[in-house]
Amino acid sequence: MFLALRELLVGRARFGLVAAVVGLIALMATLLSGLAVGLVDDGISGIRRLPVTDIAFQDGADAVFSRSTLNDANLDPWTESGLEVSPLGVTFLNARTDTSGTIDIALFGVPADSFLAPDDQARQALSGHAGIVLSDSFEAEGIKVGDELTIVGVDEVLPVLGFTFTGSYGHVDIAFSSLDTWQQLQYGDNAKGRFSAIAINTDDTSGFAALDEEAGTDTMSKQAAYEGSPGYSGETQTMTLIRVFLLAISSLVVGAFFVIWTVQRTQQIGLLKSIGASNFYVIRDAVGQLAIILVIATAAGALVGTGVGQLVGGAIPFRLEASAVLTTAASLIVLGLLGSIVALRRIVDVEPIIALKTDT
Amino acid sequence: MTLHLHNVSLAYPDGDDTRTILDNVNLDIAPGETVVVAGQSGSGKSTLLAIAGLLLAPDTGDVTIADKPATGLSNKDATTIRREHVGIIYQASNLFPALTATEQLELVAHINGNLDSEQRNRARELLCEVGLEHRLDARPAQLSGGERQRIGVARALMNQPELLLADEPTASLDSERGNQLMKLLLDQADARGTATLIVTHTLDQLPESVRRLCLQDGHLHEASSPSELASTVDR
Repeated sequence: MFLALRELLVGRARFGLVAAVVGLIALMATLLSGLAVGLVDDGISGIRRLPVTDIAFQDGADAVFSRSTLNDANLDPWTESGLEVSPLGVTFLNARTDTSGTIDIALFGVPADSFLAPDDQARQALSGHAGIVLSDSFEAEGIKVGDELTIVGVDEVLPVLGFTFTGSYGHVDIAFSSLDTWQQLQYGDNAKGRFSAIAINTDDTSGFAALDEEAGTDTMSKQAAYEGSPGYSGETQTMTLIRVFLLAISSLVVGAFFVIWTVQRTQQIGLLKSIGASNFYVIRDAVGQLAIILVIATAAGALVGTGVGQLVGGAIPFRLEASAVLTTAASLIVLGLLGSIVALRRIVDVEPIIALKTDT
Repeated sequence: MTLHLHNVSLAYPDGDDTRTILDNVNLDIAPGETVVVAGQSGSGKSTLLAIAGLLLAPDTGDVTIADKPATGLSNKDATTIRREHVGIIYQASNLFPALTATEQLELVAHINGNLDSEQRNRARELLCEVGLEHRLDARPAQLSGGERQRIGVARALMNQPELLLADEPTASLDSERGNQLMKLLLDQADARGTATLIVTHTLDQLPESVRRLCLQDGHLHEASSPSELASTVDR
């Protein structure tokens, strides 16, 4: 890339402009990537962090907890199978606090002795008097252990027993209660042992079909169950669509620049060929030049995007994963290079004889 | 022979007709020999040079360069012969704006895949030989027209060509600088024993050793005298 590198140094202003465009696209793609992961995380992190591999819903519930109601008759075949299973209740509540007004809660009801209880402290807390263990995020809102939450609608008063990992479900921060408490809040005195779904923790899925048949359940992996989170599909599809369009636009912008740049230097390409440069040499020089611009601009954009993400991360659902940032950056570079393919044909077609007729 | 053209013909479409530019042209240039071709504008001088440099394929006829048959070659093979055996000096200086004078020559070595310290030294030596030792790091925009053309001469010699082709190299220069450049070109070609084909308008001060040819109506013939050669040129 003898010529390409020197052109980059001499033509800093020209190449800087297109690098700025690519960099801004990379910045936007990185922010979108963080926003997409953050939104997804906001929708399902409460479920993702449960020590669960699969979830059995009521047959036909389509992974939506609010459509799924099971009872001990459904649970028994699973319990008898010897797998690690636990009933799980999931519902959304509003609660009034002493200090913070009304808060939304995605309440997970789990048996106090269940493997679903987030930690020993929570397990102990849930095994005593009725109460609630909140996601850490509520602590930031000024709620303290011992505060009392009044559940709106049923006017049950529950003390805050402690805090556990930060998580949310359907963009609502989670909390844990004992399954008994959950059933009391959900069904009052008419619970009849009902809960939402069965949480399963196993690597052996071979017996699932038979167990589903016997128990009247529909079991799916935890990842597949994310689809049932409110708004999950719409959000992921929207974000994916935006990212795909952004990558396509980036590819077109880079391709258009490369075509224009190639047309501008047609005489130069002809001159290179007339002094003995092969098509491969010329293409390697041109594509190498573009690759340098793409890599530097994309890396700069991704770095700035990561920095901006760190600044705004607390205010909006935003989470950057190294793999997502790298995949986005690599996609920008690869698609940018693919966008340049249109110009390669033009490079090959330039005849060396034009060097006799023109000046560079 | 370094350059051998045998019965070379070429015609261009001209409306519904075809216009014959070269009609069974024969030309041999031996090592160390310099041939100057004169002719009116549009007579086909540059076309002849393009065929000699494998930049254009003739309709019929054979081309041999440095004893290598070069008729009907693929673009890739023609490029290889040009890279290894031919140096071209252009009517316009045709320099790369981003490169310094030295880098213009080093690029040739880079294309040949042999850019090393020896070739870098050779590039500087060649520029010194054409009187540009004080402009080694200057870019084309910082140079005069004469200086740019001298870089063009040095660049054409960088790959140690057996065949040197010059397409009206003095056309963009005034008379005095044109004569200086022509003398430089002839001296360099003579010193290296290069077979040289020059298409030019500058017919003054051509040494006796130079062979003079006229291109008229598609035919190439020896000029019987300097005045006949001069009469074929638009002045």
